Amino acid sequence: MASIIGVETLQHTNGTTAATIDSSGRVKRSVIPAWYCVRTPSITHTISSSNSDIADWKSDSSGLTDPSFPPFVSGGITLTSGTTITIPVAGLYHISWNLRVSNLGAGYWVYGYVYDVAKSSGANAAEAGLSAIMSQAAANYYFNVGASGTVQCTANQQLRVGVTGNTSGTMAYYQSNFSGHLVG
Amino acid sequence: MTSILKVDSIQNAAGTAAMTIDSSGRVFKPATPAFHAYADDGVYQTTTPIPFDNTTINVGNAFDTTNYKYVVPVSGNYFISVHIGVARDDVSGGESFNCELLKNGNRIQRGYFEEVSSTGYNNVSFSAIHPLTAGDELTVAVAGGVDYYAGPADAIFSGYLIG
Repeated sequence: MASIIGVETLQHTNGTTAATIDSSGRVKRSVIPAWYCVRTPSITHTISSSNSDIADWKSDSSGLTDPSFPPFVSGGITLTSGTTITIPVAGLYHISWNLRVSNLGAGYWVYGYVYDVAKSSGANAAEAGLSAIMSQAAANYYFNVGASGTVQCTANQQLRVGVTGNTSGTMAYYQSNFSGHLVG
Repeated sequence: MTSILKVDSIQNAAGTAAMTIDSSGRVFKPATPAFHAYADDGVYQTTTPIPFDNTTINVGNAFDTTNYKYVVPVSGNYFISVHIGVARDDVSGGESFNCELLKNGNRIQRGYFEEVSSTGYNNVSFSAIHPLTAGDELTVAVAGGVDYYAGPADAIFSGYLIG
């Protein structure tokens, strides 16, 4: 015979609520390590042949005009210096990043990636995580480059989004984002 | 009155760990079926299905790195992602890249691009929730001439059971 517990709220033994179950059986986690960051308005990131970190991620809505999806960090996730997401607890995370690129020179490419700060730097960073490349034949078109996947993260792991290319170019702030959440 | 259960760990009746709750209220489900597979041949290629022969996550050991397929261990809704970060058109005049997620050999999702007039690089990345049945087999196939780079950061197939 199956064992069944009828309950509406799950708490840690210290009384902190972890999940609720509504009358339809829907389970909602109360504390989810997660983040959704966007780039700061009016700041342009210059792409060059050197690897560089995106350094203007925002985790709140200040300076944004009526965002449909306000940036946030939750569940112990932190964003420091506009560059670095720190993972609070080990587990499976789904991570996604996307960069909007414009004004890249004709025939050139741009390569973006998310990487573990402790394990990689410079050129090695591009091979360290989730990466993607995009090129174009004509100048001044717009495109995006991005990736997503489910990965294993460790407690205190630090993640950044970096970019490089084979020419100069710029990225406008809009339509660039970096997000993730604890799957379990 | 709301019923409350205070607990740090939940197991099934046989004693298998299913869920833990930390002191901040964060919930962990260590047995959730999940996988992260990648191809690491280190070359550009057109091999199909994509030879995902390594895993960094394989909860439940349901990803088959010999036959490059995920065999769904339990029925439910899964979040599945396919990422090909470097796809190279090296033929002037144009090639295409057709990347498909197959369930039991049938396409259930696709990413596509076509370079019409020049050579260059592109990428294909897509994800969605798919209802899957235990025993379903997921593979990723490519066609069109464009070759992709088989690297651990560039050719990734991942997913997990939502519930």
